[in-house]
Amino acid sequence: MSEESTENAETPPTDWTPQWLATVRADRRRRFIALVLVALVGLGLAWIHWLGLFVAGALVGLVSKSLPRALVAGVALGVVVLFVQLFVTPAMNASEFVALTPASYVAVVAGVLAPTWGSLVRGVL
Amino acid sequence: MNRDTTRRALLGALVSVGVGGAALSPISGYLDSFAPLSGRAWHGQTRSVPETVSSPHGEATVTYDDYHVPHIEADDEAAAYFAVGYTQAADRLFEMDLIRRLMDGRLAAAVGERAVDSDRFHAKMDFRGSAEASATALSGTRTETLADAYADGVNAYIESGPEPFEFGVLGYEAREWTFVDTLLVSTQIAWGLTGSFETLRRAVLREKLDESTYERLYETPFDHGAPIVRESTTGTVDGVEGFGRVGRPDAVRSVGDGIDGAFVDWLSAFEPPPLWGSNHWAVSGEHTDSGSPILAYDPHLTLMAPPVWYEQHLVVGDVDVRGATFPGIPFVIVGENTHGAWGFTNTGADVVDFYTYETDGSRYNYRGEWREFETETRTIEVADGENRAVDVRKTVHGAYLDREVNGETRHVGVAWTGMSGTREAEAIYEFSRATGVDDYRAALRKMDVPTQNALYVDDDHVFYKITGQIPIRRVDGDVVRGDRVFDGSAGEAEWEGFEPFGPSTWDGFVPFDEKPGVSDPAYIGTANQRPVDDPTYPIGQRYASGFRGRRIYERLDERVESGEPVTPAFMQSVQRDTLDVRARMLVPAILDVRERLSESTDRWVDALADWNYRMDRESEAALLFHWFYEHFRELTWTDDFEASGLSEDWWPQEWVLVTLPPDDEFFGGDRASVVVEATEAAVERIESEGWSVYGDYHRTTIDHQFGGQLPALNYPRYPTDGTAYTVCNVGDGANHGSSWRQISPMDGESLSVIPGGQDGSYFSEHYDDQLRLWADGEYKPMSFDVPGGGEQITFQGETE
Repeated sequence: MSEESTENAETPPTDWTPQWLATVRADRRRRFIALVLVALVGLGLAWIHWLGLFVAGALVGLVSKSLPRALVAGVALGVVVLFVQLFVTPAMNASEFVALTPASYVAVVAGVLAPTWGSLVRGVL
Repeated sequence: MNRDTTRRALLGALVSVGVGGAALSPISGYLDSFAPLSGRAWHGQTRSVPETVSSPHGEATVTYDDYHVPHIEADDEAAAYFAVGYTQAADRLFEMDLIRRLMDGRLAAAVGERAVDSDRFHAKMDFRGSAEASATALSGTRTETLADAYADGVNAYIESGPEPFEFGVLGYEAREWTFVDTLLVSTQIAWGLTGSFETLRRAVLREKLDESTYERLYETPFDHGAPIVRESTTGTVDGVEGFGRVGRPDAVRSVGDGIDGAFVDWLSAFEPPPLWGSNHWAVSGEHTDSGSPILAYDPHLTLMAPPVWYEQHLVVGDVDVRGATFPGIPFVIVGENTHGAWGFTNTGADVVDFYTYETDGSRYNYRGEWREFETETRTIEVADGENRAVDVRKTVHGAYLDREVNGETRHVGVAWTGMSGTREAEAIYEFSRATGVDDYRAALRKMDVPTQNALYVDDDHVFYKITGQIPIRRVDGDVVRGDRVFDGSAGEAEWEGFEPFGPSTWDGFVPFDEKPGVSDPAYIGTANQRPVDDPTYPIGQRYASGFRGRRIYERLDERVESGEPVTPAFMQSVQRDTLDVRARMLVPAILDVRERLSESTDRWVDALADWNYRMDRESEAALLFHWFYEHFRELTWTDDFEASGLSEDWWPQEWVLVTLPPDDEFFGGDRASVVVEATEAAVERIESEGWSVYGDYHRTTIDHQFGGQLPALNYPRYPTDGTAYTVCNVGDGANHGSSWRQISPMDGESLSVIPGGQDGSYFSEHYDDQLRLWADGEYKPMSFDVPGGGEQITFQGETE
C-alpha cells in the first residue's frame, strides 16, 4: 500500500483489474486519449438509451487514476452531456429548456447523476 | 484487505441498485421521455421541418409570413390540399391527433387512466360511426378527393417530419390520418356547438320546482328586445311567424324512473362548455363610408394552447381564400375570399332528442315489438393501465346511454342530427369557392350540422340565415318543441327522414326556406340570442341572455342614427366594446344601498358611482363589479337549489337574475340586503387577494393539455378586458372567449388575430406571438399578398 497522499495515490489494483487497464491508467497521455475515446463512445451510447449514461460514466471512471478522480470525470461528463443536448437541439434554447420543469429537472439530474453513479465502478475495478 | 473487498462490493452493489432502480421503477418512464440525449421528448427538436417535400399530387409552395401563417400556392387543388395537410401537421399534429382520439374514444391510450370515462362516453355515442356515415355520404365527391389529398399530406409529415414534443413527453404515436379522421374533428365542433343535455335538465327541473317558478326561471323568453331578426329590420325575411307555442308542458308526462339529477350530472360531464357562443354583425354599403359592406366576426370557444383555430391562405386557380380552420380540417371554415366574407355563430337550436324505453335485458320494446339492442363491444386501451371493455348499444333512434347508480340502471336514448351522414365538409369546401351570395346560399343548404347563424357579405349584399338541419317534432299531429323526453317505445315525435349512423333524406326537417333569415338588411347582428320572437318552426329552447346581442344593436343603432358612416375602425371598436349591460342594470341597486355599506367599501363604491360600466383591465370598478356579481349570484341561488339537490350547473341564466324583481322569493323578499351582503363579500375578497384593478385578477388563463405537468407549456398570463357577457368576449377565468377575431371590409384591408400562435411547438417563436396583441385588443393584417421572402416549403411533383 502506497504511502503517498491520497490525492496522488492510485486506487490499488485488484486481482481482477486487467493489466492493460492498469497500464493505461498509469500513463498520463494514455489516460487522456482513453478518456476522450470512451467519452465519445459513452455519449453515443447515451444517445441511444439512458442506460448509456451509466455506461458512459462507468467508462470514464474506469480509465481514471483513482476513485475520486473517476467521480470528477463522471460529473464532468454529465455536464458535457447537457451541453451536447443543447447543441444538438438548435430549436430549443437553454432558457426554454430550463423553464420546462419538471422535465428539465429529470434531464439535468439524470444527466449528471447517472454518469457519476456509473463512475463508482472505478471503486470495484 | 477485507475492508477493501467490502468497499468494492458495496460500490458494486450501489451501482447495480442505481441502474436497476432506475430501470424498473416508474422513474424509467420519465427517463425514457426526458433523459438527456436519449430522451424522446428532446429528439423531435434535433431536426427541423423538411423544406422540400415530394408530393404525389403535384407542385405547390408554402410561404410563411411573420406570424407563421402559411400562404399556399399551387395550380392544382389536390396539390394545394396536400400542402395544407403537411403544413397543418407540421404545426399542429399533436392537437389534430388529440382531437381525433378524443372523439374516437382513444384518448386513454395516449394519456392514461384519467381519460377512461371520456373514452367510454365517446365510444357509446359512436362518433366514429357518425364520421363514417358522413364519409359515405360524401363518397365520390370532390370534397372526398381533396380531403384524401390532405390526408396524404398529413401522413407525409408523420413519416418524415420531427414528431411533436408532446408525443415524446408521454411516449405515444400518431397513426396515419384518413378522411374519417377529418370528419371526426368536424364532429367534435358539431357536437361542441349543439350537444346539449338541456332537455334532460329541464325535465328534472320541472319535477323539482313548482310550475310557476319553473316557468319564470326557465321558460319565459328574455325581454332584452334584441332578437337577431328584429321587427324593425329591413330586407327580406324568411322563417318567421307560425309557431304559436302549442304543445306546452302541460302535455308533459313525468320522466318516470329513467332520468334523475345524478344521471344528468353524470352526462353533463360530457356536455360541451356552456358558454361557447360568438358574435358577428354586418353593415351594408348603405351605411359604410366605402359603400361596401363590412363584416366583423369573433367566435367564442375554449381558449387553449395550442389555439383552437389555425389560419391559412390558399391561392389555387381562381380561388384566393384566407381564414381560419380547425387543425384536421383541410378547408378554411371562416374567413374571406376575393368575393366575400363569412362567419358562424351558434344558434342554440335543439337538434338532440331523448327517449326512454321499456327494456328487458338485451331488448327494448319498440311499437309493440321486442327488439335487440344493436350491440358492439369496444376495447378502451389505457396507457400504463388495464384495458377496459365497453358495451356500445344503439336503438332505432341512435345511441343508448346507460349507467348503474346504486343497483338501479338509468338509461336514455339519444338522437343527434350529427349522428347521420352529414355533408358540411362539402359546404365548407364550397364556401371558399363562392363567387357571391348565390353560390354561398347554395352551399349553405348542405351544411347539415352544426346549426349556426350564418352571416355572409359580398360587395353588394348582406345575408343572414340559420343553417343546419332542424327536426320537426309532432305529437298527435301538433308541432311541439323538443324540450321533453319522448317515449321511445311508442315511437313518439320521431324525426322523419333521419337515419342515425346512416344516410338521411332530411325530409321531415325544417325546409331551408322556412328557417329564419334576412336578405339585405341594412345591418344585422347576432350573439347567440334567440333568432326571432316568433319563428315558423321551433328552433331551440335555450339561448344566450342577450346582453351582447343588445349591446351590439345599441352601438349599431346609435351609429346609423347619428348619420356618421360605419368604418372598419368603428367595427373594431364594437368588437372591443367592454360595456357590461349587467353592470348598467345592477349598479344603481348597489348605489341605492350605499348607506348600509361599511366604510371599507367606500373606495370601491366611489369607483362605481363614477363608472361607465366598462369591464376594462385598468378599472377598479370593474374589479368590484365582477366580484359583486359572483357573490350576488351565489347568494341568490345556492341555498334554494342545494335544498333541491341541484348544483350550480342548474341555476337559471343571468338575464333572469338581473331582472328578478327586488321582492322576489329568491332574494328572501329583500334584494337590497342581498346586494349589501354581496358587495361586502366582494370587497373582502378583493382586499384579501390584494387586487386593485380588474386586470390583476382577469388574465389570460390559456393552458396546454399537459400544462398541469409542464407549466411552461401554458401561455403567459396577460391582463385583459371583457367578460363572458360583453361584446369583447373573455370569460371569467379567461380560458374561454374570442378564439378568433376578424374584421372584413369588402373594400379595404382585413384584420385578424388569434389568442396564441400558429405554431403548436413550445420551442417556436410563433408559439404565442399573437397573444399579447389579442390581450390588448389589437389585430394583425389579414393580407391576401403572398410574402416575398421568408420561410418556405416546396412541394415537388413526383416523377414517374
